[in-house]
Amino acid sequence: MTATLTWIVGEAVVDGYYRGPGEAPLVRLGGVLHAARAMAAVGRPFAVAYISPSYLDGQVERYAHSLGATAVVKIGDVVGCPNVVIVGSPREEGPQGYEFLLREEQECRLDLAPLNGVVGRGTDVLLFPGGFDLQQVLGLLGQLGAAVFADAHHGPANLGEFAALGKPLAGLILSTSSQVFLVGYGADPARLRASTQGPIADCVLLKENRGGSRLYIGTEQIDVQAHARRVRHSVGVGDCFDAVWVAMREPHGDRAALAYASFLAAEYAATWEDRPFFAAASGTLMIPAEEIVALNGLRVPWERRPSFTVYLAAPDFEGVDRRPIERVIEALQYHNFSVRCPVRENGLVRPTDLAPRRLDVFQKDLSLLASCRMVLAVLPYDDPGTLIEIGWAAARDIPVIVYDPYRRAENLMLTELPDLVSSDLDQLIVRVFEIAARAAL
Amino acid sequence: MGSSGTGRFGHYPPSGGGITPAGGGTDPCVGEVVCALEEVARCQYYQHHQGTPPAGTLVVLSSGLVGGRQAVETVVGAEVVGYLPTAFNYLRQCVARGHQYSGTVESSGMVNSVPVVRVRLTQ
Repeated sequence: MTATLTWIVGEAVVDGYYRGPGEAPLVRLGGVLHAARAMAAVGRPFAVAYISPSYLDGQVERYAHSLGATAVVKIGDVVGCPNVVIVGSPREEGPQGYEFLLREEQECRLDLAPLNGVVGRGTDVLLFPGGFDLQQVLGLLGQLGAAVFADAHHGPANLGEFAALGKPLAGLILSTSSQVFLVGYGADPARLRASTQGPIADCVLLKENRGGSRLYIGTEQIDVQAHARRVRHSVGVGDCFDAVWVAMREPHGDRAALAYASFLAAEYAATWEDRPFFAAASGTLMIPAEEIVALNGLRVPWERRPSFTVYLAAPDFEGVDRRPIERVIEALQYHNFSVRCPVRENGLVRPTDLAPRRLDVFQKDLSLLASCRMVLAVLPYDDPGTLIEIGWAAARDIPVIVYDPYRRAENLMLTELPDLVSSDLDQLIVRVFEIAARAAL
Repeated sequence: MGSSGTGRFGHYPPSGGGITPAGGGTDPCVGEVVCALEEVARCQYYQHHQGTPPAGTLVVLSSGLVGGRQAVETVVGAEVVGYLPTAFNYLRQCVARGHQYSGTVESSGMVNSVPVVRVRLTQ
């Protein structure tokens, strides 16, 4: 049987990354090319229908062909905008801070004629909406009869727009970091499923960042483990997941395809470069399907994370540079964990406060600490209150990790007592997921 | 003010043409794995011996999964000592490519009544 061809449809963009001190900035092709890399890496047949400013045409076509695309066609021209994305925080320990340059000036002129005769029944389409007239594209894809999988991370805000296809999508893909999910569906997976599975899509894939994923299909929910990996970046990782799932479901079925997708998404995030990713993909495909499904990773469902309370031990005081503290709070909230901040909740005690007030706040702080599932301490300097909280929690088997942003931790008790001491916030966030997963949320 | 990047796409071979994914990078399959094993108390070795293997014990990463986990077992007797943290799941694709990992128990003992085994594995 001939493998089904998957057309990847959407914008080609240029991703620009400032990777931090000591590493040169990197520029690479993104947008639909992320999915193309993944399709190529798993050796499934794919073609690319792209939309871009004309200055990128040669680069996109050469690169897609070099990856092994069976066809590369341009279906829209972009004017007024360079289709360049600057990525502020590529690793996504918290919000990523994308900047799509001149996006409000972007104008797209579609020419869908190249899709006639090449897309049709028997072909899959992996569609990335955004920056073009979705209704027009869906109208044609509906007429041509292709099975359409759409990643709505960047919209449309109203998923009802997919009705222009004239039939349900074969698959709707969203992530928990998407505004469509957060705002449109109140960050509620059950509401998303109730509203979309059936009328909008045959099945719904919700990617839950480092806590795994789920596929709503029929009456089933397939849960997928995430694989913690030292993350170099998060750009295009979701697109890689999509592509591997769509490509591998034909030979392996959804459960194994999702397991391969999750494993390879972690590999995609671990490198900026194609060669190591391709090598990892070839090794991954050698793992038998039943083994990759069985491989234990991390699963921390989105809606259960708020019940995992994290006590923030930190000198959260006036006059202290609170930026590291704010980074931690933002990252935990981004991943839907509940952060409990004693100073903000119970108030700040000043030297002039009288004994009853001091005792009241002390008891409230201690009670809050005892009630939390773990402690994340932020130590911009040796704050005695934070150090005591670390010891108090550790002695009671409450997991403790320490963010040491300036690498000042040297004391033996401080370096050895916590589960982890790190200046790398991403590493700490991964550890929060690991501890939460162990707590069997 | 100058530019610090390469001025070209980071993934694309300058000459163009052919399937030549660019970039060397370091091979994650090569190098040492040093970590504390998980679930030592529940594993065969601790159950059989009521203790942890001494430092220097030869160990190997098992070729298959044990209960969905990557197990480290003794070379002599093939008793599972513990599991690699899931952060090392990427090694599965290395094992699938034929890499084998072996080494020794670096340290072991009881910490707060919990058995702890730290291993150092190399390819």
